[in-house]
Parts: sequence; structure tokens; C-alpha cells
Amino acid sequence: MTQPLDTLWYTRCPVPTGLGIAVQKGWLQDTLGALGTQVQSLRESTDQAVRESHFDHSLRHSVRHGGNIPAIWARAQGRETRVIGLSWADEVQLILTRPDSGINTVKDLKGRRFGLPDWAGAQIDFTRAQALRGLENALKLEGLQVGDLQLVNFRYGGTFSDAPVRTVSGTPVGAQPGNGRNLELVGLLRGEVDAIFLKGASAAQHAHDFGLHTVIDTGSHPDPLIRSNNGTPRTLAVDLALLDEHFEVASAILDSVLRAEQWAHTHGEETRRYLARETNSSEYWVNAAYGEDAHLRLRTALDEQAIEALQDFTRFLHRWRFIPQSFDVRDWIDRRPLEALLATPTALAG
Amino acid sequence: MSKPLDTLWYTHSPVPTGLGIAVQSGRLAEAFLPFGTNIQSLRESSEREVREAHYDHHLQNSVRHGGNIPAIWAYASGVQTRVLGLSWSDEVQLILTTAESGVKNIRDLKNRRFGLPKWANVQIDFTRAQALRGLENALKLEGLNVSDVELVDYPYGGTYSDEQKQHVYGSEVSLGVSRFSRRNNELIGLLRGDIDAIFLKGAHAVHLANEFGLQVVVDTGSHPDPLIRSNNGTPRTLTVDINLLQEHFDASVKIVDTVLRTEQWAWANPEETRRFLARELNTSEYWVAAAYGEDAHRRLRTTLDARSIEALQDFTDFLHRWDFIPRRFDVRDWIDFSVLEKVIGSTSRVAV
Repeated sequence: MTQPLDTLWYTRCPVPTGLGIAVQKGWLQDTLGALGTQVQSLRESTDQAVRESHFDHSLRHSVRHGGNIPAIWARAQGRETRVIGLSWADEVQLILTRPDSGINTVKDLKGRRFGLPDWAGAQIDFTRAQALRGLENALKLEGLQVGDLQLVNFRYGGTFSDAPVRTVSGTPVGAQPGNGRNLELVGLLRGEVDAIFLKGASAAQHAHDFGLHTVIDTGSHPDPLIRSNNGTPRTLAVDLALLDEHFEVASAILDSVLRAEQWAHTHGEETRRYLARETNSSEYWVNAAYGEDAHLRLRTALDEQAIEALQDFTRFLHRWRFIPQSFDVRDWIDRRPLEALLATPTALAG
Repeated sequence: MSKPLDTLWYTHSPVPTGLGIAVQSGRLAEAFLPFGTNIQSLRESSEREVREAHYDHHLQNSVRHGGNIPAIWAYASGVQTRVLGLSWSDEVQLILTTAESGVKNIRDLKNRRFGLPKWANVQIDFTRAQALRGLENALKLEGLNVSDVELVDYPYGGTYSDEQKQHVYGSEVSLGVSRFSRRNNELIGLLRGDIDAIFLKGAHAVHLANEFGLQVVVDTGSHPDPLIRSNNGTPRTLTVDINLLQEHFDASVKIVDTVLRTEQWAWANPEETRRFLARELNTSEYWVAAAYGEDAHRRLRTTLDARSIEALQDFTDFLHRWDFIPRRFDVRDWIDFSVLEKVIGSTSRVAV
């Protein structure tokens, strides 16, 4: 065995992930502790450069489970990372309008104003990319294109990692006081635009709170490529140095993720509570956004559907110039940790 | 039991109450199990008329724990109810404005436009009454009156009990929500720049303020003077109809005993209590803590203390002054001390 790794940095998005549950349960800490490795939350760091690694994966010896856009972007920039798992938890992806907009169906969007977030200061604006993806996929179903609409930008200042995340009552929360929030939604309510894209638990809640009309939920379309977006699939990625120098740590991470997911499959109630904490939402809205079977949707693997969707989405990001070049996602995937675990079934029993 | 009770109707507002946790945790059902009493949630009834009893308390053999405005209104309207307990869970009560409005403090509200909900068809518009109370109390701190601001009404159609409620993961939600039901109209007005300020309270207030970067002009819910804090939820009333009290005194005792035991359990179990509250309010545990404090579990305490009674009287006077209720009354005539005394006197109050 090589020299034990002193510290592993971890980070996950505030969405349903096996890593998030593994952290909340304390299993990541325990599993790595047995190897002599302590874990640190990267987004809770007081150093902005460390926090920004949630988006650019610049930190050595780090793992990230979350939306694929920043991960794809970091890889396309030349960052040496590897995907060791993909999880696919379908969620609502809504095109929303005001009830008085006259828009009932996707076809009605033609010629209308669509609001998009615009984080000019961020390295990779995943909020804009995912909204565009949702819009493009919705329009595609009716033979329309993004060019058939008028795009309206809602400019945000700062970056996504300006403030440290704090864990309060088991909930990771980012504080960004004073910053404009939900500008597209405000624009929609003000009548400055006719439709916007929102996803996940907060989308379901906002739609309800303001009596908005759902034009379409691309997140529930039968075609996985229509559903594929930032969160479908999510990437479990590590830096190459971790894999090369501390393979046992990479395996242990995946082990704790799979263990958390297996636990979730038989603990629906408790899992829903953890997901409510992860998403800083109520259990009711978790159910509305991720389904009654949200606990069963936590499943990290490397199956063909997820890989193809990741490839399709990578091409989308290149076509829209969110990344400088496209690449073959299969070159980015390292199957060894997953295969090693599947070869030793006892490892999953814990 | 004094007389067999066939069915007990219960109702609680989607706010922190001992009765709500007693229902969620199964303690209320458990307490009545030996007596064969059927426990029924009146807001989950398929009949609108039954659901409306959450507001007018007309149902025989019913208990309600929640906002005091409908309870005060029902009593003032002649419905024979009695208060068995009062609970005081301080919560945020916010006057909110936008960054662009230029309103920085209470004095800046003078001659500005203030949005108020107006439910045209309801028996008692508690949303309007509580917003007016928050506004009046805020203005009072700077020697201003409600007439110093311009009130803008945001009308709502229908009534509060048009939709059948059901509990999904502990959260009370409406079944078959009409497609374009309008909510948060004052907030939309504020975001559109049509008005300069609004009132919101509780977990949803802090959540929405954060979501839209709104500015808090004042939080009357954290003012040191309890009369400034007193409003629909401070204190909340635990009420029964007079038939339940007179014909089923033991059942009334059982209810209060269960509520008190549940609250004692809560004081020792902050984590689980916060989860119950998050479900009750249909919000996250984080926003529960933000609105009701890290010590939210300790704020569940049903008593009949002088401070709560005085605040209830002051608030009743307010409701009469603003014509929300047809007559003023002495709240002490409305309170029945015998049940609480019986519970406290007869039981050793150990946490269970």
C-alpha cells in the first residue's frame, strides 16, 4: 500500500446524490477514516480558490458528485479528471409561463421572449447551459429551434463560489445576501419575458407559489436524450492523481456511495428527509420534483444509457460554445474502481 | 370517560403547534384508542362545510389549535367555544421591500404604497388582519399610523376551504389544486414594482425574502415588547366547542394532557421536532430554524399565562377596532382554566 492520503476534499451539488447521503450518514468519513484519510468539505472552505474547485475541479485529491456541466467543462479545459460513476435521478425540468401569457403548448413559444440567466463572471455558466438545453429539447419535440424565440438575458454579478457554504440543521446552504436572485422568474412575473426554465424541487415550488403554467416538463419525457441535462446523468468524478496514487481511496469513495444508495433503496422515508436537507426543500417538494420513488433513483453505475446521454450533452455544450472542444466521454471514464467493487460483492454488504 | 365520545374532530393550522405534532406522531390517536373514539381531521373532509369549521368552529366535538383570528372571530360571532390553552411560538413577522424602493426603515414607509391581501368571499380574512396588525405595530414604533401609508388591496377569489386538504409526507396540501390558482399576489405586486412594501410571516417569509433578495424593513416578531409581537400566531389558541367541554370533560382533559406531553417530548428532541415542524409547514428544516429559531422545539409550550392572555385581549381589541369582529369581549370569559388545572394537578409532569 502506498503512503496513506492525508486529506480528501469532497463536494456535491445540493441535489440527490449518493455522495450526499454518504456524507450525511457519516459513511464517507468512516470508510476513509479506516484508511487513515480525513475528509474535508470543499465548499465550506474559507478560501474561494478551494470553493471554486466545485466548478473547475482544480483541487488535487478531490471527489465531486453533482451536475455534469462543470465536470465536462473542466475536462474539456484539459483538467485531468476521471468519471468513476454516473447516477441518473430524473427530476422535473419545467418551461414555465404566466397563466395570462397565452402560451399553452410548446408551439406557442414561437416568436415569444424567453428569459435566460447570464452569469458573466462565472467560469462556466451551468445555469444558462441547462436552461438552454431544456428549451432546445422542448422545441425539438415540435420541430422548432432556439432561433425561433427571442432570448432575453438576466445578468447576475459575482460567481457561484463567492461565499462559503455553511451546514445548518444538516442543510448545506450558500449565503449570497444582497445579490439578485431568481431574476428570470422576477422578469417573468413582471411580464418582461413570456417563459423561463426552472428545474428540481425549487421549480415545482415556485410554479405552485406563483400559480405558473407548466408548458412542458422535459424531465418526464420518455426519450432519455430529451431528459438528459446537467443532472441527468450526474457525474461522480475524481482527479487523476487520486486514482493513480491512491486507488484504494477512490475505491473506498465509490464503496461508500454505493452503500449509501443501497441503504436508500430500503429506507424511503429517511432518504426523503436527507434529500429534503440536501435540497433545502420540504419532503413534499422532494416528492413532487423527484417522485415517490426518489430513494430508488439513487443508483450510481456506468451504464450505456447514461454514457450515451453524457456524450450527447457534451456535444450540445460544444455546439453552444460552453466548452472549447468536444471529446469522447468514454476516454474520460475509468471503470476500474467500479469493476473492482463489483468483483468483491462483500464490499457492498457493509 | 364522562360519556362515550364517538368522533373527535381535530384541526391544526400548518404552523408549530403541540396538537399538530401530537397528530403527526400518532399520540393523539393513541390517547383515544382505549375509548373507541374515532379521530377525524376536519380539513381532510370531502365536505367543504366541514372543512370550513377550521375557521368558524361550528362543528360539535371538535378541537382546534392554530391562529387565534378565526377563533376570536367565531367566538365574537356567537359560536360557543372555550380556550383551553394558549401557546406562544415567536416567529418572524416581516415588513419587506425591494432594494429599488428606497425604503430603508419604518419612517420611510410614510406615504408609500403597502400591499394587503383581500379575500372577498371569506367569513374572516385572517391574512389581511395579520398583515394590518404587523403594519400597525411596526408604524407605532415610529409614531406613525396606518393612515400614513397608502393601502393597496390584492383581491383573492374563493375561500380558504374550497379545496380538500390531504397530508403528504406530513405536509398539508390541497387536492386538485385549480390550475391557475393565484397565490402571493402582494409579493408579485412588490416584485413588479407596483407597491413599495408588504407583510409576510413565518418560514415562507424568510424563504421568499431570501429567494428574491428582499430587504427586511422590520421584524416585529423579534421586538422585545410582547404586545408588538402579538398577532395571529402569538399566542395561538387551543379551543374546543362547549359541548365537548361540558359533555365530554374527560376527552377535553385527554386532549390537553396529550398536547402537554407532546410538547415535553419536543423539548428533549430538537432534531425530530424540527423534522415534524418542517413537514407541518411544508418547508425545509433550515427555514424552520430561520423562522422559529434554533430553539423552535422549546417554543412549543401551551399554558394560560397572564402575558398571553393580555396579548390576546390586546389583539381582540385590535380586531374590533378594524371591524374584523362584530363585538369586543373579555377574553377571560372565553378561557376555561379547569381543564389545564386538572391536567397539571393530577399528573406528574414527567417527560415521556
